[in-house]
Amino acid sequence: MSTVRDSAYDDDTVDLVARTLRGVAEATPVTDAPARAPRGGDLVLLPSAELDGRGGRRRARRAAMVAAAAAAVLVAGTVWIVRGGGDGQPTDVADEGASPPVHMEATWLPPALEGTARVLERTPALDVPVDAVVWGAGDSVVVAAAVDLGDGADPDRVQARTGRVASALTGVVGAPGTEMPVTQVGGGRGAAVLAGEASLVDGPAIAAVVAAGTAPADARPGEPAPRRLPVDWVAGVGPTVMTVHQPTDQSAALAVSTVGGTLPDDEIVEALVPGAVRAEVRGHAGWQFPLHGGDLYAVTWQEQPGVVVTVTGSGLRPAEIEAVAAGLTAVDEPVAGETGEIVATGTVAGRNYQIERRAPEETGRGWCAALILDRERVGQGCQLMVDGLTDDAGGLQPVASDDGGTIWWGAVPPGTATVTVDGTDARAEAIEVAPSSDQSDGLRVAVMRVADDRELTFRFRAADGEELGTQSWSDGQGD
Amino acid sequence: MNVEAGDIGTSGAGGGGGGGRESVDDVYARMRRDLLRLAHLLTGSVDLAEDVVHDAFVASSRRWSTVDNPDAYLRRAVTNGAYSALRRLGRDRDKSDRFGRQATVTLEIPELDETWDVLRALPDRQRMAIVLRFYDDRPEDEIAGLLGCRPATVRSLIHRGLAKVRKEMDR
Repeated sequence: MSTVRDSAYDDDTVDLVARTLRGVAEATPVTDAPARAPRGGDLVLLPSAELDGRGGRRRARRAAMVAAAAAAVLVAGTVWIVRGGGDGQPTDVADEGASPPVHMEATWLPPALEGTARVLERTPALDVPVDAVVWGAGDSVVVAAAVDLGDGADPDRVQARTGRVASALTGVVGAPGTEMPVTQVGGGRGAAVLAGEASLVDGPAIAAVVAAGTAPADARPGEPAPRRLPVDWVAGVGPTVMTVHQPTDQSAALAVSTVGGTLPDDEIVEALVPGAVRAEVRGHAGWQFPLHGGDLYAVTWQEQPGVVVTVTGSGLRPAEIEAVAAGLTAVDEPVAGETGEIVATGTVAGRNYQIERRAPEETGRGWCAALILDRERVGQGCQLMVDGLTDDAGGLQPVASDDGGTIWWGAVPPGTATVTVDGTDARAEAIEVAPSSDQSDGLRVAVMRVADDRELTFRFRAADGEELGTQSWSDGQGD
Repeated sequence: MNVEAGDIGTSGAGGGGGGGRESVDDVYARMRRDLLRLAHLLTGSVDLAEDVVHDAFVASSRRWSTVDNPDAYLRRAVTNGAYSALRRLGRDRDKSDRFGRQATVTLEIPELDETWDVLRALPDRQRMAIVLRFYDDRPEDEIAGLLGCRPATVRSLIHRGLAKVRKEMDR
């Protein structure tokens, strides 16, 4: 292959780079490959399922499953608290169901997680009923769940809700194989199926018939009777407050979730999770169990009537996870506008908003900012990793939606003056929450409405027009 | 047929095999090595490269009957997959530390090894733009399409990446 010559670039450097790239390419080790190309099924797999069990991605997979165990998508590089679906989809804040329970935080962290960034996420209850059943138990378990948004529902919305259910269930169905659920959408109906490797069932086939309209309970005729699976206690389905601790190298991860719900009967827990052991946690009845062949370990208990707490970890010893559980403390979050300082007000999509800030000495974790939309706190976050926002990073997150549009908010790179979105007229002025003594320690946010699209590219520009970075977003459905 | 990266076009029917349509297994046997090389350069990690190529074939096999140009399709899938994989890994400020934990190769040629270290430590999009331009011979407008930005941004990414390489090598 010849070296590309381009007069626009320095020839000597291009030559050096090209020689290096060719040399590295030729030295790339190529292991023996199977005779057949790897194949997938005919169904759309969830993002978590894309992280299948290959050694090179083991840590990423485990970390992703910790987040999934709390039914949240961990947005690396940001620390923004998002009131939105754990599937990354915005949730209509006017229809959020029951209030999430108080959130609990660790007072002790394992050494591997000391000083790591923390992501806190509030997730309202799923805005559609879930019909779920379970057959079998342990390694042979099969779980099928259906959501029905009705004829004419937006397929993307159906897929998002289905994906959220599937992702949430991976956190409570523990047999190997169940970390790779299959989903299928048909019309306004979606199906998620998780099957243990020993079940020998055709998961895609079950998903297909459920998506086509068959009740989950009727999807396996002739099999032992299914048992109804309540899911209100599952993080990401019931109203959830979750905290994730994770070092940037993803060598370990910890999620603490508090869910407004009730643990199911013992036989259901034992069916869902092989190896589940009853345990007393903080003086309450609960369970300890490995998940997905030991990749994860979790402790869950009924903290009080209507409140289930789960601590899930990877790359940590069970004793460390149990110690985290023992040391949890409830955190009272400030009521919007009562303790913070309002630094900006405005309107977005015809709705009034305020930006509230709290000082480092008050928060103990840097400057924190909150978005109050129509007098309701819909998102907040702290400064922990703002100086980590670099070339292709941004912290904007969807927080509310209306017909055809979504309100986004979050951190922007230091020095940002304006935010634009490719292919749209959307534009926002960045709001300074905390002053910057140099280009690394300021905190700026932006609020804007953007017409819905499957893929968006935000561009962050300085006052002189220089592009400081971009943030790409896709709905993560399909490929 | 030994397919060199630069031989693989992005238009036209079929890819590389000539004659009748190749099966996914044939294309896998023919292209896997070259795709692994590309993925390694794009991600800076041998492990990630294996995963990215694996995923590209999984995704491609689902829609093989509709893929007109398997070679171009797979190279695009690998590029997109590499970008997605890097985003999943997070946005560490210290890329050298991040990649220091992942397997790659050394060439035992100090100048090239040092250059590769610098390339691996570049912001992902800068490194990907450079690899696509100077290894994969892709024009800037095509790179722009792959990276979801404008050609001017591609030029900026390449300029900044090369400037970093030059600066580091001049030290």
